[in-house]
Amino acid sequence: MVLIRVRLPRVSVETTSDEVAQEKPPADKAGWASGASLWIVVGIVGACLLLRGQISGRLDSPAFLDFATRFVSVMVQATPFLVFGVLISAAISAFVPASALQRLLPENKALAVPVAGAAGVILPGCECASVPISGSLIRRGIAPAAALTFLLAAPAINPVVLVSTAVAFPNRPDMVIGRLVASFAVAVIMGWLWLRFGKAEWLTMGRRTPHDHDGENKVATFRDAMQHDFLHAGGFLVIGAAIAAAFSTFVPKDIVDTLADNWILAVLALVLLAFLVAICSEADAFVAASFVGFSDTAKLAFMVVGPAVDVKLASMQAGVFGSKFAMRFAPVTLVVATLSAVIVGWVLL
Amino acid sequence: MNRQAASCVVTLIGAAMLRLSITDEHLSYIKPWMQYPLLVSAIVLLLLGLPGLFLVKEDDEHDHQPTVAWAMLVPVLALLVIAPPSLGSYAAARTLRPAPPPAESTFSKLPSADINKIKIGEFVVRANYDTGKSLEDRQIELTGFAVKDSKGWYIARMSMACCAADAFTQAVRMDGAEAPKDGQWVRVVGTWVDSDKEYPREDMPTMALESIEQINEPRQPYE
Repeated sequence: MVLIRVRLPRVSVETTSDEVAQEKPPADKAGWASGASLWIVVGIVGACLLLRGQISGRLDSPAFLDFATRFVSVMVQATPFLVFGVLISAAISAFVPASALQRLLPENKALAVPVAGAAGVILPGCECASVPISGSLIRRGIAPAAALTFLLAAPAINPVVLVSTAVAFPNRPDMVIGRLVASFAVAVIMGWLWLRFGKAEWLTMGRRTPHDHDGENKVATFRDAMQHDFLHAGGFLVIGAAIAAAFSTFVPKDIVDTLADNWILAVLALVLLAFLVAICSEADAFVAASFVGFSDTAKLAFMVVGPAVDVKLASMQAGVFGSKFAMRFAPVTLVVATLSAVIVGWVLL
Repeated sequence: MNRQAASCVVTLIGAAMLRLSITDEHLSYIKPWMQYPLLVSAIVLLLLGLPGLFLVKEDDEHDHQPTVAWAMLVPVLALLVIAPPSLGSYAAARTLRPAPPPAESTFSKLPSADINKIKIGEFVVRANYDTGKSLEDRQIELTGFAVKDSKGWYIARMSMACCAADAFTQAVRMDGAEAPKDGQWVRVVGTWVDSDKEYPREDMPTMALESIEQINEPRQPYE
């Protein structure tokens, strides 16, 4: 593959999923909805405040309140970690040149894979940001195998994620180590699999170039990046927290016990949830911990699969790397991540 | 959603988290020490969101906030409108089972003269795992809420590993008084009923009641 080396601008966070995955709506329509959205937000909150008495009077069944408490507590517990995570990753997007990583990598591609994985451990990055970052790394001439390893390692096993895992599982250093080992293994194995079997023609890159922010105020870039990442990751966290809370509250105890008691079903159920729910890696440990009764291996699988592959990431990958790539990479990642978690869980937990 | 609306959502979340962290309301959802990280993150969110409310950029060509950001209004509205209470008898009844073995297996002696105020979780662990029977002939005081099942009623407390979402039940069966209404907080004094079984025991331990007093929900509802 011949890469034309042009000086590409700094990676911009504006290129995260929504833009990549969807076509922009027509300008006039978007303009209208966009302009009114502040008033819609104010209107919703105002209406809820006015009707507070009526609404809370109707939503007073014990089951619903139990659900609401669990949902809110995952959100409250995860918020500080989410804020800290997006703070650091936005700072990196705005202030660290992307060429810094390129200088770190050795020439040998097979060796570059674990080094890229290690770089991912050190650098906190949210998974939504890591897809476009890896895309731009490949355009910049970094070996795809190394860039893909970085893609999987950066969100899965950075310091913020490991600390939040330690908080979610108090006195359980084995869960933290298990997560580190299993996720690192997934990242490196996928990089080597790409080296051995990957074909350059699967990558249809370059559909979009990142916006140039060099001319803009760096602080403004940082602010925009952080706000965007926080709301993006937080929005998915809301959906994930709601599903997890509903699972704890509404699914009959017998069904949960049946799932939880059979280790294969337990792992498959949580892997499926991780894939569908798509929670940000900085917050997923709290959701994993809330599956009371499930085996540690199943919880580990939830935390290893989620940041590596889920519906949101698969669609982002299709947008950035092309659908030919995503159709192959996403399912293989799912299988490798599940196996890795099961093996590590079996040995370590 | 445009940039200004996004800033508004961020500000609302920041305000909600600030309120939680400076009042006792956070104790319904998270562990007490999380108050400080929550306070810091609330301040960061307010610093992030507030300026954006007033800074309107003319050229918002690539102004494209994530659609999923709308979902972030849900927790704000939940706190504002419902303000969910701490987990109570509904949650306790769903996870009414004996506690798992403790990490430590040595138990200190309890003084014999006084009424020993201990946690429900400690009572369960001593009753089910302490072969030295440290609860024997001791007056114990427990605080929790009432919960019923087919076999009788229990004094229970939810215990969090990390936050309320992963809370599980600690419970002791009560013997010798009528059950208060479900969820009623009570303070009880009584003695352990030894069931004469091999250790480790897999039942819920039982307490013979001497006194029972109805109280309000304590400031820290979890154990």
